[in-house]
Amino acid sequence: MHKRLGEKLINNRIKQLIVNEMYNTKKFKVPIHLALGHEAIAIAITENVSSLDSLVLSHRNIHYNLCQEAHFKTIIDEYLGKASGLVQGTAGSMNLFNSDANIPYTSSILGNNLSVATGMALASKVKSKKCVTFVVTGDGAMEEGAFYEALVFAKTYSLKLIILVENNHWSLATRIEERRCEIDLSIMCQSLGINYVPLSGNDVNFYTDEIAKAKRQVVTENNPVVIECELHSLGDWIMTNEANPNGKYINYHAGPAPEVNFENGAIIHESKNDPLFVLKRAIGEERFEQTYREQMSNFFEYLV
Amino acid sequence: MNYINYINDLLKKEFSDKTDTVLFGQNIGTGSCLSGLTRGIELQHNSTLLNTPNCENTLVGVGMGLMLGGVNATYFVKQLDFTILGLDQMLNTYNLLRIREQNAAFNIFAIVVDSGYEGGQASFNNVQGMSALCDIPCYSIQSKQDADYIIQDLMPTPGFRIICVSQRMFRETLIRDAIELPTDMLSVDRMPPQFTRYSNGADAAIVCFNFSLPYGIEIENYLQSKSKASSLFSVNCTQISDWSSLTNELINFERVLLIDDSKSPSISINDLKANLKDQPAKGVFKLVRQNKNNDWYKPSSEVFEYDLDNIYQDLFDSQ
Repeated sequence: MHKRLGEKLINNRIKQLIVNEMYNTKKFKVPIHLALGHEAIAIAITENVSSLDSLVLSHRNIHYNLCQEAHFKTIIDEYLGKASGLVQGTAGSMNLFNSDANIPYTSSILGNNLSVATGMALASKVKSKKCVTFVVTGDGAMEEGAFYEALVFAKTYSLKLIILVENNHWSLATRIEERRCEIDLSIMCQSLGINYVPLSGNDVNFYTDEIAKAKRQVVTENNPVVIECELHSLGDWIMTNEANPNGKYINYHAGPAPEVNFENGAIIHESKNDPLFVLKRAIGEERFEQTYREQMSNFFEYLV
Repeated sequence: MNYINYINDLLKKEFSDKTDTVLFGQNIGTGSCLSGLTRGIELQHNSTLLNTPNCENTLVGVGMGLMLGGVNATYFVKQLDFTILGLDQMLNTYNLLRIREQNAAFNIFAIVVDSGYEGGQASFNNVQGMSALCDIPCYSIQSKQDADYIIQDLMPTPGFRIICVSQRMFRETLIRDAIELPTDMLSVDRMPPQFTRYSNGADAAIVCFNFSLPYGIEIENYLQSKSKASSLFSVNCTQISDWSSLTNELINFERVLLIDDSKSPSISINDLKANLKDQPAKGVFKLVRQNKNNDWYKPSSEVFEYDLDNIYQDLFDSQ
């Protein structure tokens, strides 16, 4: 396990929990989609985005934007709508881009960013730039026609495009199986002659290596790759009210997650659904605790 | 030279030496080349012409992505209504991009299918419709003057816009040049003139919108045969916030006729009429289309029917 990747993983979680604490105290007016449980893939992708590459994001983008060490304060200010925000309070959360960090475009509209990223990949090809365009989407956007169109276009023009599908099996408050038939992405990709890489397990080290491999494949073959990453959005809770006296399961989608906190080394779920739990198991309890303490020490100003 | 050949020649010339440019669309540069619109366009250097798959939403998004990536792009589309599939990109994506500095141009170059017998899909012939919905500038090409300015000056200008040509006019002889282009009619930011003036008669002003200029010419000729000289104007762009340069011209006339061949309500006509207030003295007359028997939603001739005698009487005999 690379020490740096473990540090980044914990760092990302702590920042998200700080945002969550502020959210719980109603500091933000803009809607924010936390990505607790999505950290491993975000760090792995960001590790593989070079200074020439582009990363195009969707409404749930906090885990990627928080990978940039220097920008935490400005991201908080952006969420607060301040002129000192990352983009002067003009984007809020769901459209937060960061040109300095090679994140030129982020869209809150489901499936919208796929064709824009495809166009950016085409622009790089026209300009003979040696770079790869990454675009992040989800299992909900996979249902949109734009998803299929972008695959067809990217394949047709041999674009250096990596499409990452973060598959948390939920769209808003609905499970996939409640909403639609099964989509076997591997078969869809196979039919189009597009390489497909499945990822699961939340091991940031493994993810980083696998994405590096996929990127090499994109560059050498001039062919897009689809990566489907299985993950769980943590922060679910049980709602109890008159209509649900026995409690109702609420999957986390957006807004503050009421029952998550910094206890237990910021681990939310004691299973492989939580990248921090996977990290702790990999590096051992003592090293994990030490790394956690070190990272927490960077954020005292927010925790007082 | 006819309308489509003139436009095609201009496009060929304009793109022949451009770098970092992508022209794309379904069936362009091959087959009928969109009825000749894109025939013979040859690109050099690292510019590319792509005959694309049928994926309109993505094609509009790709244009946005190319613009964001610093590459000038033009999406040629067979029918204006096809672009409706890309509304999300035109509205939501461009709203995110328009507040940033643009380094490249993205043009949608669309054919308005107004030549008749196309059925319901042809009901969308109003260049202003997309403009109002997405808050983007749209332009119609009706004359040599329009074509020269839009293709040579406007298309390379950074930013997003829709440019429309009329299928009905494809085989027509290119209609007349403007008689003058007063510098004070030029608006800011290299936008085209808000209007173009084609003749200089004193008895009435005829102001044409959308693709109405040929109808305006017919009416002008008819009035001439009755010894009435008119001044012919055309407004071929949307998003006019200040009508003063045109109203300053129109207050010199006692009679003004406004013509719009759109099949949806004409915002511009109503806007201009409101700006004219009580002027001119003898009235402002509107000539717009009526959807008789729901003809617009089924194959029909698409002819804009009007009675020249009635127009003459409205303008001159009723005062």
